[in-house]
Amino acid sequence: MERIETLLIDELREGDMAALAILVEKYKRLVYRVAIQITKNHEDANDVMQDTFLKVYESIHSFRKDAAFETWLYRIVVNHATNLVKRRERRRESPLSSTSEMEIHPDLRRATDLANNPHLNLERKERQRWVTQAVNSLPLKQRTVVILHEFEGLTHPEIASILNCSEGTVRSRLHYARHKLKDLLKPYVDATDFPLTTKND
Amino acid sequence: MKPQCCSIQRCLSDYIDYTLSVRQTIIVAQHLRFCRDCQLELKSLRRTEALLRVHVPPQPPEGYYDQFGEQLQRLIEKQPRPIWWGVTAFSQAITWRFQEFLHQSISSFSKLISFPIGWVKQSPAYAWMLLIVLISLSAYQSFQTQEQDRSDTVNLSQVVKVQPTAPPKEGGNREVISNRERLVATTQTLPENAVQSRQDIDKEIEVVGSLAELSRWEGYQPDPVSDSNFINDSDTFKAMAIDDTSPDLVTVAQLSSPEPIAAKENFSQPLGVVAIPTSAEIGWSDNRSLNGVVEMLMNVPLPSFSITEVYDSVKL
Repeated sequence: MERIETLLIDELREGDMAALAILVEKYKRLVYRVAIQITKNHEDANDVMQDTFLKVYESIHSFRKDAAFETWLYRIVVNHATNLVKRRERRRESPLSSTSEMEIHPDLRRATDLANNPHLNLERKERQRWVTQAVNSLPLKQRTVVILHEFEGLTHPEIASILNCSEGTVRSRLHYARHKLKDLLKPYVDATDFPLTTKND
Repeated sequence: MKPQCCSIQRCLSDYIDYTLSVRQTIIVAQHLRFCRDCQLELKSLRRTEALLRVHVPPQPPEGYYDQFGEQLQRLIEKQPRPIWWGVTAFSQAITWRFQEFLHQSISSFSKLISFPIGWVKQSPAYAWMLLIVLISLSAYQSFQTQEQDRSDTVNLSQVVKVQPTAPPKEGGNREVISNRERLVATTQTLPENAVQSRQDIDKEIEVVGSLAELSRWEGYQPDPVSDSNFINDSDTFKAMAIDDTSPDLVTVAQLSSPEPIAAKENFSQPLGVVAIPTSAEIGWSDNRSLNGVVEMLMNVPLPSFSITEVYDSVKL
């Protein structure tokens, strides 16, 4: 853990709100990114954001200094987000809004529009939409593992620690998720014009 | 689909993530050479992986991040103060009281010192306090010593750990096995009574994990180091491992002792860790230094290889 982070945590334990503000500033994007991808809508992601940082504030005394703060934070956000999704599924509620589920947000649209080739843009947008749709269609447990591994770049042991399960479980979920995604994205997977980039690239 | 293909395809996801064991990796790689179905399956999985890279997480509405701080602040103000704040305040108050008490005690104690005769009888409480202070000091000192010892041990345990897994054959091969973890290198110094028995040296050089796969791996020959050579003369000592992060590379570590062990010099210095492609044929020579290892590998006529980690034994 970074030395500054340790100092901030110490300060927060003593009740210094400025330390919390710095931690929020540092990690708000990470928390939102994970929350929105699990919950699939902005309102729920906002709730998860609030709950996560409140939990950090209230439970900082129980955080072990030898552990990684980021992993602890991931655990909190994933727990809150999955609990929220499960609660909604139990109540058979539809998501509050579909702002970000299938649409590309204006910010992103603006960014992509800046590129030169309109055909490429369209294709890229379409591909992004398919990928988002495919990932969103995965069952919650598989989706969480895919988000943490493929998008957040976490390793299997880290994910196992966050989800409080074995590494074997993580690998198994990832295996099934990949096969499902492969089938869902078949037209793109089979397309020969799509450049193949590997993890190392 | 052949039955073998089923089990291979179940491993492909782990193969992509490099989480298979060395043995499994080699089996899958060998199968992939000849099986077109599995090659296609692997290709599809890799393409799916590549497709996922185009995913961009949805962005929040503009200005959301700026407002979030204030939003959280308001939320926290509404919340009751967490209980640990009370606990902290209480413990601080106790500490201040204790400090005050200690200060008073010390000042009274210093007054008593000027009347050395009979003060113990007059104030047995102060005598007890002195005793407690002395015991605490000695306990603290021993604790410090233990901490020191522990840190020394930690340094030694970070060695690239190599040792025979089976009892060494007399004059025979030493089976060099290494774990799959990234090799971490440091030097290891023998204690003062350096002319040691074989058992003593073995105690110092340990193996972390044991992957007998490496010794069975085609093309890999364990380095023959006889026991007598190892103890009496300087010699090199090599370990190989397939790195988790890049299974296409073999990590090669060389420990060498420039001086005879009997000279009470460092047992293994310097030490180098170098990664080379698995396809390389490594011709071990009598290089006894880190530079030797690097030079030797530089001469390998291959398109690419990389030096992953090289440790300076002196700095370590």
